Amino acid sequence: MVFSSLTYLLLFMPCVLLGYRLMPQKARMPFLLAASLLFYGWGSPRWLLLLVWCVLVSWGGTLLMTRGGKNRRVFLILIIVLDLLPLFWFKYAGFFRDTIRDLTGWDGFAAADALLERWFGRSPGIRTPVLPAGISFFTFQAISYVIDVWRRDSRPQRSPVIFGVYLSLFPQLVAGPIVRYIDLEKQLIEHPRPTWAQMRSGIRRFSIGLAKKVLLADALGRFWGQMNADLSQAGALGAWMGLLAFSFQIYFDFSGYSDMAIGLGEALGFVFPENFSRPYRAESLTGFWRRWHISLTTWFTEYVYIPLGGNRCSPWRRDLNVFLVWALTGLWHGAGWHFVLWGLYFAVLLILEKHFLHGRPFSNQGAPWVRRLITFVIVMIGWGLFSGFGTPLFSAMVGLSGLASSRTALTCLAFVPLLVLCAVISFAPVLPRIQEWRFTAPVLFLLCLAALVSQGYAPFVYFQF
Amino acid sequence: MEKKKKSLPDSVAVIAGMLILLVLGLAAVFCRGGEFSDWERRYLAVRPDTPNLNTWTTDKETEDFLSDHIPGRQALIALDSSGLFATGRDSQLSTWYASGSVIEPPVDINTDTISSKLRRFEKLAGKAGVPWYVLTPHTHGWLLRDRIFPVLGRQYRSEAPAYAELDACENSVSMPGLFDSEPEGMYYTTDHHWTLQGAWQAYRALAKPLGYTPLDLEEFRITEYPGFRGTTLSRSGLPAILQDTLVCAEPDSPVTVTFIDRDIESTYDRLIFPEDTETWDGYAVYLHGNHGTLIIERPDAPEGTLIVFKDSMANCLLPLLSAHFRRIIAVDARYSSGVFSDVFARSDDTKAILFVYSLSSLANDTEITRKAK
Repeated sequence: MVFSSLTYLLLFMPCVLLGYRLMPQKARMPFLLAASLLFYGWGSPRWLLLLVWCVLVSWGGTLLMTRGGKNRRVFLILIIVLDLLPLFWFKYAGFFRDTIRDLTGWDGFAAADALLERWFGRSPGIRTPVLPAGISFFTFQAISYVIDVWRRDSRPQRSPVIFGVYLSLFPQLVAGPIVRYIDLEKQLIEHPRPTWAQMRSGIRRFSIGLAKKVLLADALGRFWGQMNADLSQAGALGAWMGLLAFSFQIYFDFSGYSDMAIGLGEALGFVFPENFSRPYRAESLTGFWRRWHISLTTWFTEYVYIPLGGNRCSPWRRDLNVFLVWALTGLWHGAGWHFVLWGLYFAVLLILEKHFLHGRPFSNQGAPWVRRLITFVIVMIGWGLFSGFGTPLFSAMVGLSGLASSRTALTCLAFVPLLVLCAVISFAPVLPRIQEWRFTAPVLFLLCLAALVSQGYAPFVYFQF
Repeated sequence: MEKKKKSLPDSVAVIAGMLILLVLGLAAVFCRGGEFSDWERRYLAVRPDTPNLNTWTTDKETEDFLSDHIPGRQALIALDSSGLFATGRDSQLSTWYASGSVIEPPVDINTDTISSKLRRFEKLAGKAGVPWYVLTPHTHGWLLRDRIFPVLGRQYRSEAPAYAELDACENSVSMPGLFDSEPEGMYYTTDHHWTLQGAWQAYRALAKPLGYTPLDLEEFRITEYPGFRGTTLSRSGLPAILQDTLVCAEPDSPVTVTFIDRDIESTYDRLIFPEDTETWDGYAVYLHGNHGTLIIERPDAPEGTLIVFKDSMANCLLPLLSAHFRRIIAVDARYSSGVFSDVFARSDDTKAILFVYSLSSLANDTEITRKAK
């Protein structure tokens, strides 16, 4: 189930929020677990097995690890491997198969099929698996819990229900923020009844996030889709405006989801960490990554960068750590070389920024808006790599396919007001003020409902005659 | 003293908000909004079956069902569409709001398909050995192109090659200058069809090639049916504030019309069907809608038989032409079986063959190409 669906908005959300508020304290965690499993299983019930697997491995394995004495490290590695197995298979197996096949001509899936046929007399027909929703997020949460317990930063949770709620909590299950167990432990154990004021405030935040997703990101996505469908027709104008739209789309989509998650968490009495802090106002790339997907950056810093030595090592080793972390960050975002390239693009730029700009007197010169603009353009080009349209997109951007067709110009013109609105919201401090208006949330919610219902409006094509 | 803002208590606001959503959801589930959407001309989604874990589609089916049956659906769609039109993003839709009308965007033109159709028309008429004419009026958007937002208007230039192709064909009948110079009133504001005024211009234009003296409009029996909301409005999703009045004209003399759909024939003694204005397709007031083949017979008319290959653009025109032909046999490629030449067997006194198609049909309807052989 997704937040921007009528099933969620009209049935699931009212039942769960009111039910949770009215539920006696003892029943609240089982209720939330059941609701979260229903939420996750609604899209495809078979993926529930993966979630349950991750819960059982992390919960049970950690309990065994705490009794493991000298073998704690072995348990740690074993649990992490078992947690990562589904992620590797569903997200990366196809990617590695394709890469190896392209390099060597050897097809791992076909070879495995042949082997199984020889052993069992029948080939299962191994195919590239479909990626289950949210698997990267709940796997990373599970790993953070296991490592925290191993480090003795946190105590193991003995209740499978509470741990199940931690891992499957529906507001942040599918797209974060990635919440560390340490940050939620007290709230999960005490699970106080949310106040009506908390619920109202949370629902308001949810509505703002929903509007970012449905009214802005989805509309921008349609525009970007039209532009990238034929970049040779889009020309330089279409490519630049399309990429601008994609940059805003990613931001409003993802930050909108985070707003919804944080708002729902608040309505249920939980406090989730902020995930975005107006990133396009950053004046440097380092600043940008401190404001963008904060929970993921924190996770990689905490569980990869620092264990590798972090900043407390030689400069060349530090740069290598940065490279490694960003390659992994790219790979986390998707199984494709363009994601790795995107990660390395930022690795190079961040290393250059650190070596040549940090602490230099000229780094703070000039108007802030110029630094913001430069940062934004660099980030935007990064999104070009991220989009996977690389060469055709950049060729179109430099004008190799002309300026734009007349139809493209019209489409671009039609989206100028929306892009201006997105730019204002991204760069100017207007959103916090708008959010405070009493009718903002209900009006935005109504508009989102209208947009969602409109998506199902499908006049029969043939009746045009 | 600071004046405190009056506000709903948090508990009331939350409970009321959630209950409203829940009531909407439950009402969608248990009080379905009918089975057929007149406005969209399609059947609405049915309630999901018992879930099947192997072929899980319950999530999609539930979403479709809620979307189709939520109370106030039309108002919500109108709200969203109004937002798109107000912000100029209607250029992304299948209809544009321009100069007080909801019009179709420019037709995608491939002049090769038009020239290929014209060659087929010529060959077809050659089989019958009678003169042939083709009539394709300029689209509503083309007529309005200089009167609407310039960037939108310029898009209609893409239709120019099609008109040039037609102008180059000596059998193409040009519409009178009035049709282009006074576009207001030639097309409905909520539909892609022309009005009686538009069809009247075509009737006048056809007089010379078909060899009749056009009557004055006053010589026909005129009837009016207000409250017509056509297909372009429906496709736009805009609120049903706009509406047109259907104006019909037919000669005041005895007539019979036979509709042949597949093997079923039905005969009536009138060309205008007022009862159809109450149905989802109000434009069916002319000739009871679209049919594979229809035969209009008016014994007191002076001329012989006219064969017309057409789409729905001709529905308003045929009653006017029937004043001059004892028999009009009209074939609509979309609803007829067989090929066009089959119709020649129905007549031994054919005076001419007329092709009446909208630009969209002429440019893109493959069924016409297939059957005009």
